[in-house]
Amino acid sequence: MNEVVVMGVGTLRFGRWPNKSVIEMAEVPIEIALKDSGIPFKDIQAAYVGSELGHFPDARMIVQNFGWTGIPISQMQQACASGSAAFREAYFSVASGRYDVVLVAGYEKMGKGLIPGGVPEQDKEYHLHYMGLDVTPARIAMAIKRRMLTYGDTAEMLAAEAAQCFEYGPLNPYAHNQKKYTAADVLASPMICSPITLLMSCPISDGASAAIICSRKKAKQYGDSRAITVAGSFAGTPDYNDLMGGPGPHIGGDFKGGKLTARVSKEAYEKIGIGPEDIKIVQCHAPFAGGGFICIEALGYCREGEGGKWFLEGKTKIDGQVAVNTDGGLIARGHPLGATGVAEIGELVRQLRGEGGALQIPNKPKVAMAHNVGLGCLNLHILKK
Amino acid sequence: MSENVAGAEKMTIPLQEGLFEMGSDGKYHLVASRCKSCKLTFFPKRKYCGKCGSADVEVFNLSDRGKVYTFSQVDRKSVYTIIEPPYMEADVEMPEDVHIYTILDQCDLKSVDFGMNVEVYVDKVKQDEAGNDVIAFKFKPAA
Repeated sequence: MNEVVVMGVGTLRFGRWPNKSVIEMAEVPIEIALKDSGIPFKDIQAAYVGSELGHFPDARMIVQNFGWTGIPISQMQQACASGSAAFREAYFSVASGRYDVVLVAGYEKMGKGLIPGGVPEQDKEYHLHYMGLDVTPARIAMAIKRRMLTYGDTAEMLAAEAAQCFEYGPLNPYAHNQKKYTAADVLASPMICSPITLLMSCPISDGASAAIICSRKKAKQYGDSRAITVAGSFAGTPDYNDLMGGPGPHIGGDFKGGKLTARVSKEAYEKIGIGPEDIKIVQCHAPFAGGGFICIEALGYCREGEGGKWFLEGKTKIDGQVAVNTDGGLIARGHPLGATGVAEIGELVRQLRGEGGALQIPNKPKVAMAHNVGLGCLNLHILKK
Repeated sequence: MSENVAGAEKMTIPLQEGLFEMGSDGKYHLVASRCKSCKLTFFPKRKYCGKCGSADVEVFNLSDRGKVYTFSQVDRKSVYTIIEPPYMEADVEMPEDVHIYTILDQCDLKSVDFGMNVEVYVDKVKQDEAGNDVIAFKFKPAA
């Protein structure tokens, strides 16, 4: 396998962009990423674009906006993990030696309200959709409710995770939510699915993000002093141990106990020869408060049931034992499905380069992790300086 | 699975086929499958075992009673739902070692708790365009 490096990253501020087409939205981060990499578009040999709700010509139009260079362009659809799926396939296309210079992009233009996770006339899951069982936050709400019984998780712990996101969001120029909310604000906001309140939930955001990746050998031609190595790409879907109740395709998220995250991260640690003690910064997929608890436990930072306490005690802050979601995470940065995974990579690349600005974690981090979960799938990337 | 309602041409139609059936006792029961080799149970029933992929599965009726494993009061309406919030969504643990996601109805929302005994029942949830009753399963506190 060839060494793969990230040469450039870019993000369009997450928010609402009703007047921009998806092509115009994606143009912004691709321009930034190309400039950041010092690589001209004409050198790009392939492109991978992630989106869940996009339409069939989008990916080609987004890339061809920069030129009809005749390169292969693939669109990856993997729910909330579409962006990291594009990054994963781009990584393997370079690692395998097939290409040297590849563009990755993720974008999403969201609708309004809750995402139903399917269309009744297509999946025929009439019971799930019509009986009100396709409400995604209710799934994590039920998992957290059970944790409250098992581990003593509290609403204050959930509020602490959300408040940490809102502490960092205003410091991240790419974040949707630029307002600072306190834990008290989070607890006082309307209940969505008990115990999850509105401010414990990711907002509905449009957004786009991009990255330029390259083989190390080729990177030297452009100047690789700021290049960040992709140490590994790992992925999985739930096995029967991870399943939740039926009916419906929602069985097999990673809400129950993070078993999928535990399994895939174990593989990553073993293959790369590192452990959680070596990774001081994690972008983790937590669309609702409590997601971070499950994640840091499953990744091995703390014991099962201690995640909430870690957030409450600030051990997950920028200067804590592991810096979690330094860009505000899904709750403050926003979660335009396909854009999320690539934006996570962008934040980690900036952090490893020491270009994290007001959000820069101390002591020059050397290794970082991007964790991105979709409905029934997970992609995990380890980056190294 | 549909039946004539006495004295009318209207039918009762399940919202979704295959989730429950009328037993010989005249009551509706949930339908699950169990792998004959690894013994794992799935609801809804599966053609292939979700663990080993075997097609040698037996279809059987689940018990009518289970216990609330966890729950959440839903205060927002999703796109397709015909249920009006607030309503209680619950994960019910069945004696056959399978979990079921369901609406928990006919209960005081504030009284729902872990381990609560609940039972399945079938209820009319809407009328279709032809005037037929559309039925679906729910759970309620056990009598």
